[in-house]
Amino acid sequence: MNDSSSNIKVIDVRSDTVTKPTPGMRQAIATAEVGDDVFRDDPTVLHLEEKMARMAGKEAALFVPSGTMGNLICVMAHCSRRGAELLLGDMSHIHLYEQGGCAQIAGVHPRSLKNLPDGTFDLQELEDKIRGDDPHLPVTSLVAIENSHNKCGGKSVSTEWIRQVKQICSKYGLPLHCDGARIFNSCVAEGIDLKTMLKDVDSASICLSKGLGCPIGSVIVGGKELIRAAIRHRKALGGGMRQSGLLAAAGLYALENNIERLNQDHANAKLLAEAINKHGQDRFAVDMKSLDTNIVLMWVDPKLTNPPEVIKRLDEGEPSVKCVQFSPVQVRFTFHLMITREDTDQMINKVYQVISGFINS
Amino acid sequence: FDDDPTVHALEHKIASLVGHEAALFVVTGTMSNQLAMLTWWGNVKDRGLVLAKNAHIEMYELKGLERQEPVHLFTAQNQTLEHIRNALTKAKQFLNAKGKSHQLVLSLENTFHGSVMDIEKMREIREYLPPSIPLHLDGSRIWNASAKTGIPIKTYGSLVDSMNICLSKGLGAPIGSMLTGPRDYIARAKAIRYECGGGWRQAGLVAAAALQAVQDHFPEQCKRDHEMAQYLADQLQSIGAKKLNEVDTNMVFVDLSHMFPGQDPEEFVKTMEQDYGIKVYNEDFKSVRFVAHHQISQEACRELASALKHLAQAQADSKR
Repeated sequence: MNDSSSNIKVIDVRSDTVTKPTPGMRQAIATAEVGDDVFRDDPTVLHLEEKMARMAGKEAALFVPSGTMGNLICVMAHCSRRGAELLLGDMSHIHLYEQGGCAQIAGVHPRSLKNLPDGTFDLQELEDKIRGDDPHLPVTSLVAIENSHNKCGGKSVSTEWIRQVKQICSKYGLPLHCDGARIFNSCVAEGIDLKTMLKDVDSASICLSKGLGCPIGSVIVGGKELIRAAIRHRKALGGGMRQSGLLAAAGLYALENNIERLNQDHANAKLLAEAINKHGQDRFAVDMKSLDTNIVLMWVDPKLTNPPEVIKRLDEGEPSVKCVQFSPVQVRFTFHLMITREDTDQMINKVYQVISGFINS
Repeated sequence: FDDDPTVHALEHKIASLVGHEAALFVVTGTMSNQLAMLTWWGNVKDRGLVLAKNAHIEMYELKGLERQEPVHLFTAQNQTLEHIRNALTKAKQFLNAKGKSHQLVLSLENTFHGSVMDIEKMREIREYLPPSIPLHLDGSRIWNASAKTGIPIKTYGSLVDSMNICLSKGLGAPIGSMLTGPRDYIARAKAIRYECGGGWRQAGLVAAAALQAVQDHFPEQCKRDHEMAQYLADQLQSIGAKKLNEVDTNMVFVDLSHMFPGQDPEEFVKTMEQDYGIKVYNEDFKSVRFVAHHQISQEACRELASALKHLAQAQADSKR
């Protein structure tokens, strides 16, 4: 990867959303058959939706412009009554990084459950927080989980836990939604197929534009009725695209070619994490227990320095490594298909230089 | 991350075409109009919108404007100064009575159901409007208005504060619309679009298609579309359809109810597709809209007319 404006090599690990379409994917996009998706006659979109529904073991699917919109549409479709409440992890993407769309647009009250470091939350807390029938109380209408869990470092949550969440949901007649933006990373890391991974959820929002490398888009999967409602919500929000078969073609290509290779991103992430722990002298560290997939969270000792400083140093010079601040004491590196093994080695070198620089100063 | 160079190129191009400071590339026209209003309204509590009856926003886009704050809609009979003024007066009275935290926006549409809005009428309205009320133009098909009148899009742009302009319609791009306006306004719109999930990633791919469309299709292709619509209107009339409009741009409206008495519009649409291989849209035989575009040939127009005649005849025969 090169920055064409100067000639410095840039290694961009700010997010896996930066992935650009590969030549093979571009070819698929250029030759895609299209129609008009608002009239529901774009064959490539329909093909992608059919394929995704089948892979996920769900009745239907819908292609949407973003994961944020995907999650929002599912919340809107599940929570159709006034005074609805959504139970979700306090560090979930929906809760933290989707501009409070659930509240702003869907009018749904979010109630958070404490996320544990492994991306789950306590089952007892979940059950305790489900509302009873009393005019004081909002009406619990949906429970949402996230897999893999971004804020917890790309953690893959256990299917056993998901099954237990589902059990509680069923007991109270609640639907269960999964923010599966990076679900394929979890699938590949666990060696479990998508259908099994989503067995116990009623709906999921799955991103194509992250590790899978597509330029745009996500797909939501769920029951026929849900997707029927979702089509309306999508249009109302301004997500009713026209010849989106172009983008769906990229999705189909990615589902064929880019899932298994996620293993490489996980392997590269592990190499970086190990290197940090080897040289970090406990001033810079990665919790290996939380390293499941393609996200490396590097803790920075606040007594020594801070993430903005580290990010700045990593950015300067050659190669320029671009990462992001994740918390007051963490820097995040997100691996994806544009980061080769060679890039990883160069990145490790640079990180080593920078952290040694701080340690020895 | 705001680092897609092709999107920036498109935004630059459209901003200068419209004569506004900045532009934002968004997924759809619905989203563009939605962002336009939300950005003008900002954080006020009572939100007012004046627009003409049967404007696209009024017919099809209101749901997306709903947030926790109420939206108060005031419709004008049509887009003349007299009716707009009446609606504005009602709106102002209502909102002033509500309290301090309110904002009114006026939205005009050009073309409106395929008809060009006279620029003099736009000018009149603009001159009447006080600076406290922003003027948004839903210019989804402003290309057609400009191609028809010869008036540059920039001139239309100079009369309004913000504009929605679609790339995915007659211009032929697969996806996308633009919202244009002042620099800080567009910056705010950009931030607001995340709330409904409008933040897309490598949109340069679709922006490239849009850039190509602007290059290839405006204004000559638009003019050809208008001619094609006229041809289509003639063909339809020749088989007995009752003309409902003088063809202004790319749309033809006809009354087919006498040709398909008591028929179900949905069945009609299905039959046209299955038996004749023609895709049409119909909700009410009394007013059926046909839209010409660059992928419709004269032969296609003749085929359509012939198919309608054939189907009408077949249905009349089956009744005897």
